[in-house]
Amino acid sequence: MAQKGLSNPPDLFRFEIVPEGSDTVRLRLTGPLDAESVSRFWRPMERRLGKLRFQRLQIEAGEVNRWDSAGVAFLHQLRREAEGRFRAEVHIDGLPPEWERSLKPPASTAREKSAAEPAGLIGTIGQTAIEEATLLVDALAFLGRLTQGLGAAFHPRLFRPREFLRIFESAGVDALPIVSLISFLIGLVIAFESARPLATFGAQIFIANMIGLLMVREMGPIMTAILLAGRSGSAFAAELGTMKVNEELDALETMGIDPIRFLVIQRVIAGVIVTPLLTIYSIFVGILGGVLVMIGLGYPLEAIYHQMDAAVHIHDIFVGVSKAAVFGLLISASGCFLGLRTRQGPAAVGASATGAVVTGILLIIVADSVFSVLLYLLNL
Amino acid sequence: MIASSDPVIQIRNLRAGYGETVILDQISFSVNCGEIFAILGGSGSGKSTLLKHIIGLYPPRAGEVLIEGKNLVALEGRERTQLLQRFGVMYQNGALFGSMTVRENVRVPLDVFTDLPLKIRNAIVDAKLAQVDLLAAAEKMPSELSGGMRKRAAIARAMALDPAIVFLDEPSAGLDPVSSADLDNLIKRLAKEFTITFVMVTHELESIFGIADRVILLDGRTKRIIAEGDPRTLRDTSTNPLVQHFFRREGKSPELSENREP
Repeated sequence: MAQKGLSNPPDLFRFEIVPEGSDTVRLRLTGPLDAESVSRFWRPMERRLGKLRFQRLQIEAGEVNRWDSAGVAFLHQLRREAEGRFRAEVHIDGLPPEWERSLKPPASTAREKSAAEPAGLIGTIGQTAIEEATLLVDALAFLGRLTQGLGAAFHPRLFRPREFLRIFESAGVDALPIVSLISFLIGLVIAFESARPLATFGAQIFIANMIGLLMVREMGPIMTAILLAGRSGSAFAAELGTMKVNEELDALETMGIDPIRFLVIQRVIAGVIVTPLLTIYSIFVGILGGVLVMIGLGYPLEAIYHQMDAAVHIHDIFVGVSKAAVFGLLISASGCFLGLRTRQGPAAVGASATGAVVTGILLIIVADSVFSVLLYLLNL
Repeated sequence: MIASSDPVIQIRNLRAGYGETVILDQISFSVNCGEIFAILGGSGSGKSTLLKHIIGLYPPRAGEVLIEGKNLVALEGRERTQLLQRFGVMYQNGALFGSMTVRENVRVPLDVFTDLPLKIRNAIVDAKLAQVDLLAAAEKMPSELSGGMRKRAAIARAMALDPAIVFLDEPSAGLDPVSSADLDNLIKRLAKEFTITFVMVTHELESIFGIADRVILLDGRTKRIIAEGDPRTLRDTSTNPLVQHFFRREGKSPELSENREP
């Protein structure tokens, strides 16, 4: 649209900054003050205003022909900054009445905001410390209630054998394929990795000792436990978390049924039984993987058998299986604990499931370290 | 209504809230035997919070809640369990246990708290399911049920141990008008036939005028009860603009118009 003379085309935004006297600045705005012009002009406007010293800022917006939220928000921000930085008085003329409400200085929000704001670094440290401390206290209380509730295992109606079998199946039987694959490959890898270094000493037959001891005492229990933490620890947390979100736990509570006895005990017992069983299976499959490699290297089966028989003692198997039982307890108890602690909201169940895997694996590794030191000291 | 002079529920000067937040304060009212009592209020007025305090999920910040004259949060062990068995709760979405069939869900309280043989327990379940007209769905899983059926199953479970009181959290939430009316009729019939006291949290006018004998209206801003009594009388005689706005759903909300003038 062609327009006569110097008048501004209606779709072009312009601003003028006119200092008046020693302490007043006039800001004249023409054309559309919308998201587009604000994003193009806010920086030059701010820069030029920032160079001036003033006590009064007169914003004339009477010739603005189009407004949107960005334009109004811009003026709002401009006024806040001018008032804050220069302690200047700001007047805005020509703001359409329907936008005037949104420009009202917030009366009480400033105070409310500071209350809601995080209390800085020290405050955050304090909050985190309190949260961790309550977590610890809750965990101890949970352990207490768990021990107290163990009697429920002998109460057939609370224990619900069918539910127990369902959990046992999903945590144990359904895990067989993945445990087989991982253990077989681990055995294979150990054998291959140790083959070359041992060959330099002409001691490749000792691969059998390596596989036997590693699988029985360490890799079998650890790998099984980590798989279980990923499969079942998270599942327990997600199941109980979903029940919490669906108010099913509240329903139990108001029926006078203890969720620990009704839901947790079976899962913990299933975990304690299933982990050693899976571990024994994992040990066999892992050794099988290693033995295959040794056969490939040319050792006869009898030689491998005798070598391994001499290396692995019955107490090694006992050590591996007891470790597995402890890991199973840690995984299932922490999974249930985090599930019961689930907060409200759709993201909470996911957070609990993730937390259960991380906590489960952490506890497994810590417990394994404790086992290593203890077993060394006990000479087992 | 069956006359009984003692109220089954008494709330005295209850202050309700979570953590440090107080949501309701100085709440006092009582519910009589056999009544259908409704706790009303807009969103965020604290009606669900009040319910959770009454059924003992949250301890009162102050004051006390007496159910059949006993203070639930002060009781422990066997006495607490016995009092819990005097009432049942229907949660908003039913809160049925997802891994069990409808039959097993309704049987849970019987399984845990009675020594009856399985045959008898199943017969009780059949009777309860028949009362809520859900016998055909007994062997279904909760995930196979519609919203209204889930709520009816939850009512059957809440009534499994023949309680004196049944609490209902938003019975009509998420239901179409027809299912909602069916549920209302069911509640009315159960209240009449079995002299069960129903206490429900709702904001559905249809249910309120259709079945509620007495109501209280909560106001989130003042954290108090602003009206108590028969819903029709309140609608027709109350001069409080908040009460009028709630019951008639017309005109400007008094709360909003006040907010406009700072």
